[in-house]
Amino acid sequence: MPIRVHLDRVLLERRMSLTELADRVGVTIANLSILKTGKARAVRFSTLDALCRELQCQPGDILVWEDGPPDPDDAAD
Amino acid sequence: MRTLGPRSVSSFLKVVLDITFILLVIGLLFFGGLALINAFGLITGAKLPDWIWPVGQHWPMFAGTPRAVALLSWISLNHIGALVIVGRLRRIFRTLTSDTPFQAENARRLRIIGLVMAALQVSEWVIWAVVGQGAPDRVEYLRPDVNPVAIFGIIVMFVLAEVFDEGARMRKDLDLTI
Repeated sequence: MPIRVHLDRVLLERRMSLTELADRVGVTIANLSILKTGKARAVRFSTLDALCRELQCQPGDILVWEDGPPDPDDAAD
Repeated sequence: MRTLGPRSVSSFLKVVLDITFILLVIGLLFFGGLALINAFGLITGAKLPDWIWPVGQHWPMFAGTPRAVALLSWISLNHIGALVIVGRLRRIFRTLTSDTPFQAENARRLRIIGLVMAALQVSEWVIWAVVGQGAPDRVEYLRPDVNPVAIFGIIVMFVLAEVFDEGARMRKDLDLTI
């Protein structure tokens, strides 16, 4: 999927750890790791809302569309 | 009626499948054994007791012929096919209680069930070609017919397999939705 997640970059800019973000947002570290590594298939608006609120950013700061071939997983579907 | 747990439809079906599986194993041992003994008698020309020739009792003209062995082997093969079907159904039921039935593995199991059902239908024609051709008129009623129920059953299995595949995909999406 040519949607890239730049959560690690935003976290670095905010000097916030993944554990701290997980605590604040109320999402498990495992799920945030899935999101950070780009393995997530979908993001709920409620999660995105919580992330943007805690990181004081826009959805576009976290999610970026890049031109490129679809991932094999998505192509198989 | 409950879907899972004691006195539920699935627990009743599970018991039925378990009993059917055991009966099929017994049937396979019985008919497979008879097929082997008949084959042994045919090859060695040994005189076997009458009860060893169950096919011969019903169709005396088959007694001591390769057709008897072929018919018994076919019955054994049907038992193997039924065992494969019931075995896969039991595994699907296990996923119903342990996890979720919407798994790619279950879709594969349903496709196998459909294929085995189709193979068993085709085997009726094959055994007819082997046993029925040139046999006396008395075995005419053994001639297989096109069974619409079985054909629909096979189609249903393949449709269900596609549904389970889609269900597995949706479940994966759900698991990876943050």
